[in-house]
Amino acid sequence: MDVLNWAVWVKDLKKRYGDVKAVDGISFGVSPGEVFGMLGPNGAGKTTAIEIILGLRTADSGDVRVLGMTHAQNHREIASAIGAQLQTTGMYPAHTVREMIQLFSDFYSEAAPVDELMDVVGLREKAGALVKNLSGGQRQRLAIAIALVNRPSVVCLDEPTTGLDPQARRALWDLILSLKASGTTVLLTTHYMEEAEQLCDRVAIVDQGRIVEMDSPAALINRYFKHIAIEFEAPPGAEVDPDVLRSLPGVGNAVLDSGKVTLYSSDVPATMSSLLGAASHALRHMVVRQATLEDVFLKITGRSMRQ
Amino acid sequence: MKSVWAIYRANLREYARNPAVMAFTVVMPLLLAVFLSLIMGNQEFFTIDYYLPNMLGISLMWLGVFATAQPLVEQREQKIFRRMAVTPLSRQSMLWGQVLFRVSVGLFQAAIFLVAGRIGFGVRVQGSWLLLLGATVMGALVFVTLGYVLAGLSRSQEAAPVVAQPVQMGMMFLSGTLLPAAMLPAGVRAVVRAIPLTYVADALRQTVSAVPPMFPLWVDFAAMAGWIALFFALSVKLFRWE
Repeated sequence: MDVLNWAVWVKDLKKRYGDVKAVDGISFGVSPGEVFGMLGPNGAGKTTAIEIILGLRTADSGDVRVLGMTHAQNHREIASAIGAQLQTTGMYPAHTVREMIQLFSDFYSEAAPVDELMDVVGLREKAGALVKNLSGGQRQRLAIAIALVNRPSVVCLDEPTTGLDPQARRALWDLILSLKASGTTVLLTTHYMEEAEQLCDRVAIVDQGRIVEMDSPAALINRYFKHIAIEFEAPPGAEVDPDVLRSLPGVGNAVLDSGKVTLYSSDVPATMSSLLGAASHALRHMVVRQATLEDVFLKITGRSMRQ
Repeated sequence: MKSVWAIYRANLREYARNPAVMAFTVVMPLLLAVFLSLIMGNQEFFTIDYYLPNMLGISLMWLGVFATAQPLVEQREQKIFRRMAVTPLSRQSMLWGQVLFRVSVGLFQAAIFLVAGRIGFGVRVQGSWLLLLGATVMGALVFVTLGYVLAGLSRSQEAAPVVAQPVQMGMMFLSGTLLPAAMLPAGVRAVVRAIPLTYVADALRQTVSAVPPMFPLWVDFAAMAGWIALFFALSVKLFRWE
């Protein structure tokens, strides 16, 4: 695909602060209408990359195209066409929700109706509330509404669900999926694996300023895990020998970690029946689950996301 | 144009809904004018005619400190300008909206002072209304541009008062607005001429109540124009949106 056809395209992006390489050669393209996620722990360089794409920072080297345009030549055209929710969205504290959305609407030649935006993020009944009196989650939803005032064709969301309660998070996922259904391109960052799996057509796993893997969530999981995970609590007092567990039929690997046993099995029925037959104690808290992006991240980087 | 007015309105709202800033820019200087004229009023011409324009000058200075430098630093820390940088709003529109808003606050302050002076003390404008308007706008611009310089010098919200207070206190005492310049020690009197507030207050005194001038009016206007140019150049060098 030609450079001009990508909604967002970056090539060999680099940015360093002193000795720290915040972004160390990132390249990817987001096709129109795609939901693309940058997934990685805090400090991986996701925010720096997003800010360069938005034109808030300049890269030390590399190319950025948004809708085929560069910030150097077409910053205002890019700004008119994109929407952004930054990690901190600055707002006037003595403004109401309605006034804040109206203010940002006035910066664009065309804007969505304020009432519609408040409905979309579920803030209609807070229309007259002052920004300084909003909860963290309400503020975050207002930031999302502001990101959508110009009906953008590309939306960049930096950690959009951080600080939201589970219900508001679900609502935002639905919103992102409805944006996708209407053909909007979404570029988001997150450190929630589940979020990336639920929303993203493709994810780039970012670690220490580099993309270590990039594909659809399902493809990544399949590539790294042909096995299904069987977890249970090690019976208290009983000797658990991982070597014995590894010799059970179908088991590719067995991990004993702080009282929790995880078997990775390619043949769950066979593994389960021999495991249950061999067990001299009741196996408590048993869970059989698919491998997740969390497992992929752990396997690629050797570190857990939350470290 | 639409975005200039959007910024103008937004700043006006924040100002009107902040009682502390309103108090500093309007109520306090007005009370000071009344209070000082009552204490000093028995000494020849240190009456309300003297203190009303002086305190208008000080209120314009507080417009520069409490309604310019301080909120600019706060809004920078709240990352408001940063968010706006991701919209088509240009920096020039943002600046025009902010400056127009502050000049109109200056005019609002002048109106309040003149009405209060007229009703409370029978002070009538003695000079030309046009020159008074010019002196108010120029005076406001002197301190608004100074506000951008102070905001540029303040690295954080906590640092803003540390930077601004010595500047505004020094000006208040050394400009002959609070205490008559004649009461200052001879050595300090030379400093009076180096202080922007001196010229702003002198221009306001001459146009409001025809108090004997320190300088010819054109000197006041020339000095204000000079300070505006200097502070503008400094703020271009020092002020940061982020």
